[in-house]
Amino acid sequence: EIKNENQTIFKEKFINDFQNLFENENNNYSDFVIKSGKKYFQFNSHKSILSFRSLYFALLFKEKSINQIEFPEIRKPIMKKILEYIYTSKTQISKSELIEMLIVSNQFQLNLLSKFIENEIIKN
Amino acid sequence: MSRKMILRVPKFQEPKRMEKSEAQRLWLLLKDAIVEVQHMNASTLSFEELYRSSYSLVIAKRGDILYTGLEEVNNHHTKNLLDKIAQAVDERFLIELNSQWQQYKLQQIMIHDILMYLDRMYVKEPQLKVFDLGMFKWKQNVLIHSQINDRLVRMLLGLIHMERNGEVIDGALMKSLIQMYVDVSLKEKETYKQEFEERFLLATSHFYKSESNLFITNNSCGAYLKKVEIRLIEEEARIKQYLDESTGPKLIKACEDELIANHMQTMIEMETGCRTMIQNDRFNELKLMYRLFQRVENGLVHLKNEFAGYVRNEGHKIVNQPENLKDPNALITSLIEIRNRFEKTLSQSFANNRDFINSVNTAFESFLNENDKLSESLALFIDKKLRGGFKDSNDQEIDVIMNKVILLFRFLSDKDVFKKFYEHYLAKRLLSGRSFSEDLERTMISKFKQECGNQFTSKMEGMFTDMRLSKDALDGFKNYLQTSVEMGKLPKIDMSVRVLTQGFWPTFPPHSCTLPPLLSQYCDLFTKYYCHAHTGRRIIWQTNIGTAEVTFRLPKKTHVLALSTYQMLIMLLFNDAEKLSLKQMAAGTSISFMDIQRSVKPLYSGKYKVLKRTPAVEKSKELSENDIFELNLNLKCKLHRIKFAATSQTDSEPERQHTRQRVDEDRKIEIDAAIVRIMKSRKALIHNDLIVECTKQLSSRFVPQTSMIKKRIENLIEREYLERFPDDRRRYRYLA
Repeated sequence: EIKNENQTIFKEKFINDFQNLFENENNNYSDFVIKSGKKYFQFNSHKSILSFRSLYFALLFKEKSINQIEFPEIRKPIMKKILEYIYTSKTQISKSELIEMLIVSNQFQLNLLSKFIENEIIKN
Repeated sequence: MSRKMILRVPKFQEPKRMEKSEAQRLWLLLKDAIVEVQHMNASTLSFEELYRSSYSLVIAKRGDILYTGLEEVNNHHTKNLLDKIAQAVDERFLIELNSQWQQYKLQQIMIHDILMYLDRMYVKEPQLKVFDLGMFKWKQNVLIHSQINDRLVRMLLGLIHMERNGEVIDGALMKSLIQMYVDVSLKEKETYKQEFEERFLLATSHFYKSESNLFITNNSCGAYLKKVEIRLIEEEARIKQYLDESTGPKLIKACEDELIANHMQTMIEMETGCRTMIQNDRFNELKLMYRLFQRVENGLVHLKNEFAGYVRNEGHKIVNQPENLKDPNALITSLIEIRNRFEKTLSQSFANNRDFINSVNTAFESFLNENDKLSESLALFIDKKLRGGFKDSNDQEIDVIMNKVILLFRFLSDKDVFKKFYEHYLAKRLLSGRSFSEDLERTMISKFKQECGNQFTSKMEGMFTDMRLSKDALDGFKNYLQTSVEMGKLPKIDMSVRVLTQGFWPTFPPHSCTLPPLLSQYCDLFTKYYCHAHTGRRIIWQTNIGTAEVTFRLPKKTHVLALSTYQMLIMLLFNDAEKLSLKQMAAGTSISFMDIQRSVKPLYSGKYKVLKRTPAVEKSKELSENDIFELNLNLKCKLHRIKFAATSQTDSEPERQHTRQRVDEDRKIEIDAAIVRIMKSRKALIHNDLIVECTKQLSSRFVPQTSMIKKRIENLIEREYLERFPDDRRRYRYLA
């Protein structure tokens, strides 16, 4: 058994790579577009990842033909944070965004995140 | 002091309450989709739209429209299904029901997916979750409907009955339909339990009640046990195949009750039952019986009692068999044999169960102490083995036998009696030089030591020390003789003396006799030598247990006779006389008449006759004082050395009595010591408590009789160790 003593370094690298995966606009392998906000900002994302992380997307992708979805009511910074959570499990939510984040998190059936935000709201 | 906390709730725009008409429109959209799903049509609407619609309704606080609407749609749908299913005839019924059910379940999963947001954000207890609502409607309108429920259960039970009778049924269909009862149960499988399980268990009990009654009357117990085992395996398989696992323990319990518990008594008592199996060592059948009885409450108790009863009975027979009472060797050998046999039964059939072993041991204890012969028989058995009975056994076999002896010894309640006998025979072995091997003697003693401690074997070990010291003393005596002045005047004889410490050795009944002058002189010399070397000691001569060799000169031949001291004395008388009566012999040697009788007997009635009775009479005739003997000068014998048994090997009755008396004497001392020990620590005690305590303390050595303890108490009161309380005669006080 070979022990990896650089676990944390590896993990950081992994998270950074995944961060790039949805922020990089020239992402050739993206197979799904999410548009959000009044200006329909475009996030290039991946069905495989979304469906693994969110039950909502998993059910959504049962329909094979779908490759784009629009959420004009979700503001761009909120959407970005949700995707960041989906891709990297990282969250940095300011207090003013908590309720908004909770609604979207519920909508996408991100149960663990919802629970966390609920607790934060109660604490504040 | 206090700081004002300002709680800032972030601003959030609440969605506007939806217009009723808009809400209605969204509901109808969803309703259409649900109905499509229920008719197994692929939805024409995308999941995204439907999800968003239900999301919008819930977020706009219109979840109630959606939920009640769903309830209605499900209600309607299940009622339609009921008609469809109820119409199916015979076997079609189960198939139709199953296929509708499978479809319905799938539909409910799809509906749940669409309404997931409703499920998570709107539904609150005690409302049912979307999927559970679907299940509930199915239960309410289909499953427990009078047209379905009873018919379904009867058919399911019918199929199970068929399968139990050896027919093949569709296990997958069974599993699906039975699982349906579990699926529609909301909590703790209550529908499954109420509607199906209860009736199933009842049918099971019924089936096995009649089957087992019939089978056991027409078959042997062994066959029945096998049948039961197979049935239990089948039922285990049935649980795995199509029942809910929660039924497992209940089903098995029901089967065990009917198949085992209800027939336990029969299986023990029937002709081919437990008793016969034990009698004939049917280890496998007993093992099976043990395994099965183990499963029911108190099952093993029945089996154990039966086994222990048999053991006790067999043991009782052995210890009371007339042949065995006469022959200690046969008695102990058969006891070891049955012990081996029952140990085999215990290990092969009863998994060496502690309780079983204990009850067998209790049985042994009870029959081994039924009569008081056993202590002596056991001592005699070892005596025979140690006199040469072990000659043909290897170390391992010897060890096995010794351990069995220890095992039997452990069951004896009067260990002190055994000890006395053992010491007695050990002494005889050592003194007559008949012990086969000192190593084996010591091994045996060390085993007793392990079992009962130092005190038990200290005397035995003392005997061995004496034997060693005697040899040294004898060597010293021989050197002394060579330098002694008196030696020159005496003819040389080879005399061997053993010095026995009083207390280590059994006391032999004192007998006196007149030694020939020569021997007498030698004895005096030894006494002189020994008392000089060890001042303060006194020597008492025990001539009656000695041996001697004398030369017997016949006209043509010379023999050496190996005799007991008494026999030697008698034979020496014939140096000066041709014929002697027994009376004359007694007078010439000062030996008691009884000993004369016993000593003479082997000399004239054995294989080689050195004496003959004149006139010749029948052998069997009892000897009398006036019987006359003379030397048999016509003795024909090829051997140069002829050996004569001094006395019979087993002890005569008076000797045995003597041993018993000594045991009693020792017991008195032990009881006295125990009473004083107890009273010294307790100061005052009520009579009964003292008896109990005393019995407990002594139980490792013997079981004292209450009357004897009472007598000892009286005696101690007389000797002023104890006194009675003046106001309470039943209490004793210790007098320091």
